[in-house]
Amino acid sequence: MTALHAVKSEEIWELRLYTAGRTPKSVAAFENLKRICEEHLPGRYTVEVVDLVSNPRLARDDQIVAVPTLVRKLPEPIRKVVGDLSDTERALVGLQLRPRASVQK
Amino acid sequence: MTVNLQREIDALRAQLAEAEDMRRAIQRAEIDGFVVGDGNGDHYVHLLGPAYSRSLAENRRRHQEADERTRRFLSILAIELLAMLKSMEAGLDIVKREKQGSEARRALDSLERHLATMQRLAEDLRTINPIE
Repeated sequence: MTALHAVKSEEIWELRLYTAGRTPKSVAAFENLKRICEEHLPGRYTVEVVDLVSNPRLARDDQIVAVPTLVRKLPEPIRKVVGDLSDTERALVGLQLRPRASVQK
Repeated sequence: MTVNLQREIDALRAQLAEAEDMRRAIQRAEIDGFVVGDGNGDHYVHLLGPAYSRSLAENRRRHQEADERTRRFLSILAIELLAMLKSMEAGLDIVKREKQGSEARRALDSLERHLATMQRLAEDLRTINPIE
């Protein structure tokens, strides 16, 4: 089981969402991310959207293999969540806002 | 275990968890493209077509149906087991009333304990596989 990240009130979460332009899953990922952040990290997050169709080389920075992919840059350690984030529980576990054991397969 | 070794183990566990999450995301058709290297250090995005996405979604639906069938089967199995165990429990009570010898009593007590354990297991099986 991976450790649960304790959210500190002053801590800013730096997130980066890798997308493939405005494909349905990429749009859904952005909407879902906004909803999750507003609910769990209100006023304490930044989101940078990186369009890999326009800048595919940027995939190297975080070793991205599929889109959409969300990367938590800060707080460390870096965490990745692949997919459109429609499964909120899985996204919260990936971001370490929920313990892994609570998610069903 | 040293602190460094523990850190490495934690990092490997996190990588495995991410790989598992990616497998699940692909299986559930939550992605719409892969980043592919061209062999010269450059990358491009290979977008999945609608047909492929539909195929992934169909696979996901089939998995969900199979899971649901398994869950229903386990639930019905638990209910059947509980009914049979209830009947065995009633029979055991009758035998216990009639068999007063110490050896028979010990054997019946043992049976009763096993029966109680089986009932708890069947109850757990029914609890984790509820059907409406």
